[in-house]
Amino acid sequence: MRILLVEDDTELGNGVKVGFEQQGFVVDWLTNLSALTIYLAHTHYAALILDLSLPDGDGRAWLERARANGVALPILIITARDAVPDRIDGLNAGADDYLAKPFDLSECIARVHALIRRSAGHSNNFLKHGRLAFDLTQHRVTFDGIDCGLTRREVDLLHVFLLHPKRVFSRDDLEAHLYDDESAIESNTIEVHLYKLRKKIHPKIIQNLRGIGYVLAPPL
Amino acid sequence: MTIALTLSSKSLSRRLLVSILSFVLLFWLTSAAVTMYKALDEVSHLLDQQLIYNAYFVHGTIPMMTPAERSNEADSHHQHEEDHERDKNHVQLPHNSSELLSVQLKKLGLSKIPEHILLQVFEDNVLRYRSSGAPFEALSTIEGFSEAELRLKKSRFRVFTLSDGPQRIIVATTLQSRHDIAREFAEALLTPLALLLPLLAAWIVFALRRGFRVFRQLNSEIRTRPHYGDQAWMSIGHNIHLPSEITPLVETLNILLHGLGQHINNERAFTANAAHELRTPLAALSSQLHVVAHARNEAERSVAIAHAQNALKRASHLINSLLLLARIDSPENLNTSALNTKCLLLPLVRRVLSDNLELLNQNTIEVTLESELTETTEVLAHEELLAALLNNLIRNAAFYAYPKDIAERPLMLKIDIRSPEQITIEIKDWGRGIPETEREIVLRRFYRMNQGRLDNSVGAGLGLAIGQKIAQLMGDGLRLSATRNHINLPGLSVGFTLNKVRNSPTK
Repeated sequence: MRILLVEDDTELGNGVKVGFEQQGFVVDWLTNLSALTIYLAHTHYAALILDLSLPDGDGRAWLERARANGVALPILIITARDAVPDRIDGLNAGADDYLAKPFDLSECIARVHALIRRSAGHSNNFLKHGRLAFDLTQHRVTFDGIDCGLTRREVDLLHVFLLHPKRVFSRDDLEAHLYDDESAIESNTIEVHLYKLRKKIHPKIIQNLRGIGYVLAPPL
Repeated sequence: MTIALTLSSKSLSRRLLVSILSFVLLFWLTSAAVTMYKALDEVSHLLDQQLIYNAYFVHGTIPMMTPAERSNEADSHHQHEEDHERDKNHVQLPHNSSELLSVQLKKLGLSKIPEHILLQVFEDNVLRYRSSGAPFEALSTIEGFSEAELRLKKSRFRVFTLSDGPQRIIVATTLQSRHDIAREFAEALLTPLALLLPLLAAWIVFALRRGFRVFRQLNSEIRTRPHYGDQAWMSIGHNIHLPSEITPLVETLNILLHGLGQHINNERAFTANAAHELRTPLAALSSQLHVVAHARNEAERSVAIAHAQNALKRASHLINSLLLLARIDSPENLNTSALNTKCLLLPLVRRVLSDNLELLNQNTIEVTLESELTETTEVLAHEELLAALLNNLIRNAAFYAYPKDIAERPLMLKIDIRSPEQITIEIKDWGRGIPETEREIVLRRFYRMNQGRLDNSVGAGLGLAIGQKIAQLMGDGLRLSATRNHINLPGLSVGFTLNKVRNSPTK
């Protein structure tokens, strides 16, 4: 799951980035607003974590403009402005959630999970797809109630498909969701993960639309 | 939260009302007393004139007796006195005096002499005529005006005696009747005024209430506005027609409100900035500790610990800066006499430089010290604050100066003798400098230049602000200017002045 973080503070930005990465996220980290719009235009992010006080502008103003321009991804504000009017103002500007500093990183991760889940139309942490069940909190996948024993990367890949069950993903899309730009990956890495998913869950769990991409099979 | 203020206040309008009404009442009573006195005096004068007129009227009406009549009168007088003894209450009218008088009275529209007027006519000391109720004896023997008491009537009389040869006419009226007339006269004058008194009081109450309406309007405006937030400090009285007497007060209050609002906004901004600057390193610390707890390998753990230490260092630096600001902001927290303590400048400069040696080496910044002072040159300063000021300026320069391989002399500390009593200290760096437009605002608290923030998160934007405050406490503040060296590198020069101890040695 790829998310974008905009935080100008070195230590905090690094902590959030690594903390999310530990939970299987791919995090792109920016320290100012200047490149934010370009990043959003070129990469599909599951969520955006946005600090408000940035060196080259106010995150709130950017947020308002972005929403007006049709940017629809879930956005979590992290800021030191913790007064109730600030929270209301941030939410009214278009944020989906608001977290005041200092925050617990586990809470931040949970909120981002919830935002991503809600944006995909799911109301709880258990995703069901026919005989397949996915526990988001424990990263555990079962098929007919039996644990599939997926690795973290396989879980993340399946999560992407489960959040958008009817969407066709190209290999590049899936790579972008799972790896950051600096990661050195083999050309067949995604295919290997898909093969293992089919092997561990069901041979028809992911369908290959030749020349188009991959899509989650209808509920089995 | 409700804040109850108990002020011992007395109603100004009530005090004014009471004092005005008391004054009006007192004025009215005094006027009434004076009017009464004047009325009595005037009526007395008028009634005296009336007595004189009556006396002359009687004198003109009753002619004096001829000698023959007087002889007959003497005979009849004897008889008359005997009759009088028989009936003292019966009025004797010798000759035709009574008829003559009645005729004249009828001409004046009177049937008889009013009871409160007594009339006696004597000729050769013989009572020739007396009105009903008048005694046989003369009421007064004094010519002109006098007063007499008639025991029979238990009354005092005002008497006028007119003598013309043998004829003596005495006219008298009771003092009581005169007083009654004067009282009626005064009452006629004062009754309308007395009736107007409540109307006057009502008008005064109305006028006072109308006059004080502006205070009620102002009070209502202040009371109904929010007591917290920006609206609480908005100026008052814009929608009220203020009288010229109140305008200066309201204007002064508005200036005060404006000042208070600004002060509170500054405090609020300071608190928000301080909170922001503190919250961020705390959030960083918390995040890095989370990373440490979930580290996937030793390298990740080590990096996170280093970041956590940095965050802690920043939080600690910020707290120290805030505490220092609190000290220098409140004169009561600062021993002002210590601001002018003698201290050796060069050893102090060396100490600060060695404290920052690690940072300077880390950034490969070489410091050049040029000084006209000796080791024993003393300045008047607060040693601790001066050290903090030098520390801030050197650290600031160390962050922004280009390293040794780019700039020939990245950082220079120059101390010059300005006058026998003053020295100047300049810290020059050859780095990115500060644009002229920003040189004033970088002295504001929590202001951080954008370009500085992208690659440096250590500063909280307080270093120069604290330096400025300290330099102002000990001199005339910081002077910021641009520096350029031989290869045209931009840079910043920050200078300030210190008072030198007179006769302290120099090179």
